[in-house]
Amino acid sequence: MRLDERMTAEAIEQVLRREADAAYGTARSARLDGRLNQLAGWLARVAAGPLGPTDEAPDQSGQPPQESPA
Amino acid sequence: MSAPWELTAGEIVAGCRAGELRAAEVVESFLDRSARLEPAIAAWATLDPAGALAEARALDAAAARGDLRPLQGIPFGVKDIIDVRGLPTEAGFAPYAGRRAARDAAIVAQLRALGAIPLGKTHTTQFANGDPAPTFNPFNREHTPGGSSAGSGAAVAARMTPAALGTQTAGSVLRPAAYNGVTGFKPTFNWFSRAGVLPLAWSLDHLGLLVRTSVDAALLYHALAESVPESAPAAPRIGLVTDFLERSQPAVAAQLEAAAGRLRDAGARVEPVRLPVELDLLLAVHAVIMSAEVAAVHAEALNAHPDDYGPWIRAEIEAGQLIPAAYDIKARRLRRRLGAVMDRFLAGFDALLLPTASNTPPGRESTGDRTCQAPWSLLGTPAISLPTALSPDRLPIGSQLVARRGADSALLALAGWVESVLGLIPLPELDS
Repeated sequence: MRLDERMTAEAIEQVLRREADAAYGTARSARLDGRLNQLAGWLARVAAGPLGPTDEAPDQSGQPPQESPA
Repeated sequence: MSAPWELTAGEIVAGCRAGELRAAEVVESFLDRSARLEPAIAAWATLDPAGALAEARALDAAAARGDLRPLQGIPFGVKDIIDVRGLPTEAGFAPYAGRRAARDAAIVAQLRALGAIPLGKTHTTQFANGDPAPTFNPFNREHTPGGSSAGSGAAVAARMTPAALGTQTAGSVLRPAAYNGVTGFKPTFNWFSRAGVLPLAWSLDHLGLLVRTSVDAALLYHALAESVPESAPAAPRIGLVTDFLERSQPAVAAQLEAAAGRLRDAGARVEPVRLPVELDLLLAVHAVIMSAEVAAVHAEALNAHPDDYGPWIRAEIEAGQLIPAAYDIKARRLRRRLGAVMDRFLAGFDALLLPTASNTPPGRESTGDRTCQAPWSLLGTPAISLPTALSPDRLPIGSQLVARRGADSALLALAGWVESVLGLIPLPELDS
């Protein structure tokens, strides 16, 4: 599934459901109904989150770990 | 004179250092109480009476030679995803039964060196996720003790131990603290080493403390961090975050507003504020990152033992495996941006004030609501929950203070002042 900020939560849920059917079988996938609905809502919210290419602080994950006092 | 099990961690250290208490009698007292109450509370996955008593006697012998430690004689419980040498780390997962740790997790080793004594392992929800633990809430057995650090919260509330270690990926230290009527402190992300702790989601997992008072939280924190306590400001600036009040049960919101009024009367500058970012976006970013990481941590073990996983965590893993990389990466980019905005916002306050949980503890089929805790796990800020109120149906309500990253000492000092103004609720008697 490509990231598209115009995609609704319902449309994302349909894609997730198809992928769950393929990955886990329809019986198991049916048990994920509520979770897929919830996840689709979160993904739609993240996709629509305002973010330009220079809007964020640089990624620090290549830096040495922050020194902890403990 | 109080029995040792009635004492806070600070009172135990003071008694031991004054020569009025021995570590062995303290440990015996908490072990006796644990044995008496365990059938009703189910807080302990493993108790280690022999090991704890041997360690306490060794500490007493050292004390007789003048070797007194900063946390002398404080028993503590350890959530059962954190290694304690010689004891099993089972994480509520049947295939891990009897899986004994060869060495202590870093924080357990630190606490031992400081004079504290591990009593045993406390029940956790499976792998610190959402399937309820077997533990009961000491305030009312029909209600959840929260999760995932259920046993740690309940054991402190039942005074089976004066302190316990917990972990938090969404709300698992703060929420059990609120639901069990005790104090919970989650320091800045990565402040306490997680070596020897089973991961749930690497970029969100925090270690934390469950204790009786903020004074105890400060005692343990400063001993672990080798830091010096600060003083609370004379007129602290506190932001009462209305976004969370709007999501809370009326009784919870009313208690927080009453607490804010009392703090104002005591000299704090309390002002209603709104978050500078959307709460729903914070929660969505947290949930996507957490689900993706939980899925990655557990992919292989789920393939090997699918039927041993609880329904909640299994669904989270299976759904999380479907998250496309582009969404996961965007969630992580949003976290950095939201973190920068929130850092600037938090710099304007000594602390934010909000409910620890949006509700009083619900029934035992769930571990409760993470809305008021997950943002601080996402952002890595320090947060503390104080047990400041009881609902009309006698269930505990927590007040939460949150500060900017790295301001742990200042937050603990402010929490001490807030505690002195608001007071703490009494813990349940349980003996009658």
